[in-house]
Amino acid sequence: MTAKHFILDVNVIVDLWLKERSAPTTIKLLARSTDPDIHFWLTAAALSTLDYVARCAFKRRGLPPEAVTQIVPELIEALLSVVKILSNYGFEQQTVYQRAHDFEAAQMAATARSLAGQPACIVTENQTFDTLGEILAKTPEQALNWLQEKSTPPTAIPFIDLAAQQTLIRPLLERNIETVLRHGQYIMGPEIKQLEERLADYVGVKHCITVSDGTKALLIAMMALDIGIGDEVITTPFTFIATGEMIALLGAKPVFVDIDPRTYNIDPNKIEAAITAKTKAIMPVSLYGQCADFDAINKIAANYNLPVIEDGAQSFGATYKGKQSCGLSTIGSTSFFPSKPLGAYGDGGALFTNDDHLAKVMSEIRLHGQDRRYHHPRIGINGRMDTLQAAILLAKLSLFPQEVAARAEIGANYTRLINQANTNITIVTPYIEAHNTSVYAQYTLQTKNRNALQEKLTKAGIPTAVHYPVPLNKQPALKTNEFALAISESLSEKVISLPMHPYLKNTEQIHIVHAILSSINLSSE
Amino acid sequence: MIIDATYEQGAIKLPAGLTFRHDYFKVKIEVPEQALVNAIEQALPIATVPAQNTQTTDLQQRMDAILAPYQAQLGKGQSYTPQEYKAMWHQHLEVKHLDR
Repeated sequence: MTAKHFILDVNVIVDLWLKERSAPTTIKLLARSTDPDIHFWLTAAALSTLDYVARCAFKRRGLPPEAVTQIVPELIEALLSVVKILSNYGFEQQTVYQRAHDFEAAQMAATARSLAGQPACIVTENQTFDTLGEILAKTPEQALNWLQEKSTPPTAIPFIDLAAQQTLIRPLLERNIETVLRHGQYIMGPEIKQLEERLADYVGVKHCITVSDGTKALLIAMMALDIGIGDEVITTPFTFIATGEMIALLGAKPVFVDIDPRTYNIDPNKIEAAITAKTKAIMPVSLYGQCADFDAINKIAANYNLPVIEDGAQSFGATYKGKQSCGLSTIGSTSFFPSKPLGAYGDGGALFTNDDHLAKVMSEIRLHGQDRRYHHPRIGINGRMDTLQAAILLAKLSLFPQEVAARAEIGANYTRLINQANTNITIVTPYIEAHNTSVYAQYTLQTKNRNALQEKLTKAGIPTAVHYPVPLNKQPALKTNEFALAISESLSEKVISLPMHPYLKNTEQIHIVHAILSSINLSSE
Repeated sequence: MIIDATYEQGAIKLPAGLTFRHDYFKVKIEVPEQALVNAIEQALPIATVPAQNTQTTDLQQRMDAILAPYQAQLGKGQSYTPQEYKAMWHQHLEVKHLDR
């Protein structure tokens, strides 16, 4: 079902505590707080009103003042275990005041704007509640009925749903952003170090260096390894342009090695043949959220004394033989682009290593090659992560482990739903190696009739994407006929990605799979 | 997992036979008070907290426990109307801001 939000008015809460009028209904309503799609809120501006009115009401019921002083804070604390606080923002108070006929109520209504258009209502006993015409006002009884209404089948499914996640951590996001606004250290503020420590611990490596974006992460990693003009870097053509682009930007040559058709990752069996005297590094990409075969790749690299950079832009959170992506090779690199499994609200990236020297060098490169203020022993770039993005990522990290688990479950559910009905095998579902866990940055299928499927899904309100329609060896900027890349070239014409995020519902998945299967049946008629 | 380890001249010695999934990770160690010459400053808390846990709280039980001594006074009077609740608050505001 779609998320529903309930903003509680003071009268409903005090009735609950006094065990009067709508109290039994309100307790039934609040009992649903264990449902991850049901959210209860109290507005910041209403908190002082609640505190005073509750005290007043209890006293009028004959409770001694000292008892009231004790129980009201306890009741508020208990309430806040199931109810989150929505902020009243200063910037909109003047316009709310101008439009309101009841400013207190209107302030409450205006907070719903932060719920980004998700279904919401004010729960109140006040029949004339000033909603500003922006939100429904319902009695507890009506709210309970609304909550129990069956959701209509989804009409439009987002490819990625960032709003669902934002709702869960909004107070934490607001706190972390406000903390940065208050201390004002927008560049290399304290959140950067906190994030780096948390990320290094998560990956299980000694060093994390946050950077401005995933592309710069690759650039910095290669700069730290002194890769430059005339050098060769072995990589996959079946990836986003950034991987090959950064190699070329440094004047080096991307040497493309074809992929394993099951995992879409570089085929280790083909790497050795591509190694020359000019090879300076191997840069596998852990595509779609599944790690490449690092034992095999690292073994080849060790034989030739080559460093390995994992482009883990899509795989942060995935594991390979129990170890975390980005902690599997000389350097791990990732991206925090908003749609990634761990995404910022803008660009961001990070580098990971156990090598003290490389960590120092990469750290300096991201700061204009600076080792101390205005002293630059090497050429670097402006590659720092913004403090604000670090603050946002710290908030998002609190949800990340459960989101990783949800992604794995949703990916497996897609595969099960498709395969149990897809008896003609015209659709190929993702193959995940037994030793891997995938974060399904993309849930990507293969089909020979991609355009037809895409068109039909679009008509059914289901967005899709193609990752990636042109392999890097066919991109005008990197065009080459030097390598045999038949698998990459063939798969680039067949892959199609479905909506994928950790809050995708089973009902939505069934709807999507039904649309896919209908499309296949139509195509085969 | 809690294991016995030994500190000796800057190094922590772990028992033999343990293998670890990661090459680098942080551990917490318990240092006997009597072995310390000086205490480490309390580390600053990291600016993150887990998302609010709505799964475990049984609100009704908590409320009942808080209100248990006052059952006789609750749920038996005439309910306040929303207007009466508003009046309580507005009266408070008047006393606070106008009757000074």
